[in-house]
Amino acid sequence: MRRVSVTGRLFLVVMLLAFAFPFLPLLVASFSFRWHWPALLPTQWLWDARETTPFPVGWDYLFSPISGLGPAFLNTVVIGVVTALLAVVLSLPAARVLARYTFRGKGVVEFFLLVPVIVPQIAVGMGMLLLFMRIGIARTYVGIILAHLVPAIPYAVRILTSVFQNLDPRYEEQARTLGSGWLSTFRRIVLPMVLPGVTTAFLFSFLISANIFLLTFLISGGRLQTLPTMLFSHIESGAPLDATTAGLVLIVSVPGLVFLMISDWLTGDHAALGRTSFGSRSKKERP
Amino acid sequence: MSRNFFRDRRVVIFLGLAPAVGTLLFLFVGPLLVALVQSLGHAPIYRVHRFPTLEFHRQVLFSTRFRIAAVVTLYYALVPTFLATLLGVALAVTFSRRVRGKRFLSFFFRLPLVVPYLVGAAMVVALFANGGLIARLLYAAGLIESTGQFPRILFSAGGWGIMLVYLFKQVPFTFIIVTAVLSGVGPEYEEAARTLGASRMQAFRFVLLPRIMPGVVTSSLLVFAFNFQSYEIPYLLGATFPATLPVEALRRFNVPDLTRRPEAMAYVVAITVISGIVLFAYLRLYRRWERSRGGVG
Repeated sequence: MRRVSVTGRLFLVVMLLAFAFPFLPLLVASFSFRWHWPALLPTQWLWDARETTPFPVGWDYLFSPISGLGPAFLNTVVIGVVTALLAVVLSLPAARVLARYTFRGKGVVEFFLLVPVIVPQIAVGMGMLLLFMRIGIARTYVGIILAHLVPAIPYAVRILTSVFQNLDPRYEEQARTLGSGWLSTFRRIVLPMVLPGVTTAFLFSFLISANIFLLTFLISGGRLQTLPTMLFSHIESGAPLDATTAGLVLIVSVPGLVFLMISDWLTGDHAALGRTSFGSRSKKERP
Repeated sequence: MSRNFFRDRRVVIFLGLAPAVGTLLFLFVGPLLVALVQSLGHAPIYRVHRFPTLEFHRQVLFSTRFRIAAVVTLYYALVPTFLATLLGVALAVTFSRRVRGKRFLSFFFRLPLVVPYLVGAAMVVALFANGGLIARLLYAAGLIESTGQFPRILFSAGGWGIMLVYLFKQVPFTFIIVTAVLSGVGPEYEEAARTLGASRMQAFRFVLLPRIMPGVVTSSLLVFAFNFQSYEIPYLLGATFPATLPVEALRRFNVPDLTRRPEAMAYVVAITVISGIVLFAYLRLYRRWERSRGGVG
């Protein structure tokens, strides 16, 4: 492998700064109380202001019951877990069929299972709100979870299909030949072998759900807050370098950070995230 | 039912596909049909019974506001798509070389990818607002004397704030997809080309690029499709006028006069159709390019 050139190294450093540096001012701002123009650092820090202000501010405000952070966090996690579970369960059989069988119209099915990713979510969301109002699940957890399934299923199908492509069907055939029923074949042979891939699909679906704004915003009608909708209203109403918004940004980033760390630890491979999405369609590795 | 029924190939295929396909038929096709039908004048709950009429579509498509919105939406979508693809590919190719601290770098190169777009919006506000950190740095350097002298990057028709957020999220997206493709290609072809006397540019243009092209096309396609329909970023960081198509659509959806809802639906139908046409044209162009060069083994 060739060594990276000097310009290349410079480029990598510039990119590193572009992606990592923007978190820093928000980290500083989250501990500020006042940050007047044109100071480069907060004019008064949170810990110096605690005695003088009657209301909790910044982190104190976020972690107090009035901020609504607790419910928003809980909503995000509950909706994310249920969405991810449903997405995996619904996508698993389809992924197995797509990986194992060729049949007429397969291209159409594959296209149909991917197309929600490129169709404008605002069109789906508005139509969905009207549909859900009709059947009485608008502004409910059920409605939001169903909405989140639309972007989650295509990714889950994609990830799980590549899982089944890497799984040799002869293991199953042998188990069946040796007298194992389909349930115990699934439980003892298939499940242990697909578990890492299924975990990835679950985590990825959870992350998609936890980061969705527009569908939640439309379907919940402001009645149920999740972390992204809460961040939205804070950015909408807050000043730049506002302490509460800054703290919230850091909290909203937590699911993504955890996802990155787990997926690195699971795979030990920095390219895995790309392979699980849409990058390498044609590649079918067989052990 | 006999055991054989569940062994029938067609039954296995049908039952396997049914859960995912059925769910999306209900949750994806259903809502799109509702939007389409309502845009054609069928909305009995708002006392609009004019189905089928193209009046709402005509009203929307022939308005100046719609056309201006369509132009700015395309502009805000295409510029970052182009730049993110360029930077993302460059980053992936550079990163595929021997680099020290790969794990550390790769963690931060993927970080923007896993946080919501709204996080990017908050960052752009903190840095580029008129009272933001960059304005303060310029003040400290003596280049500006008041916040008013800082160029308006946010809330202006130029859309710089919007496009910066897209870049922050989508350079990493392109990077990760192209990196995955590159790891399948391996360094051998490029090294062989260099050994045989190709310059660095030639080796990239004629050896590496054709091999990563499918990944480049996929990622740029997904990036454009996202940018064209994004709501919250142009809403938060764009100008009030001109606004993008999704912002205009939701404005119409939220007016108190519910009989105007079909207009909003005509907007989202138009957004879907325009996005579809662009993506289709792009894929056709790529297919033709691929055929003209005969494909790579």
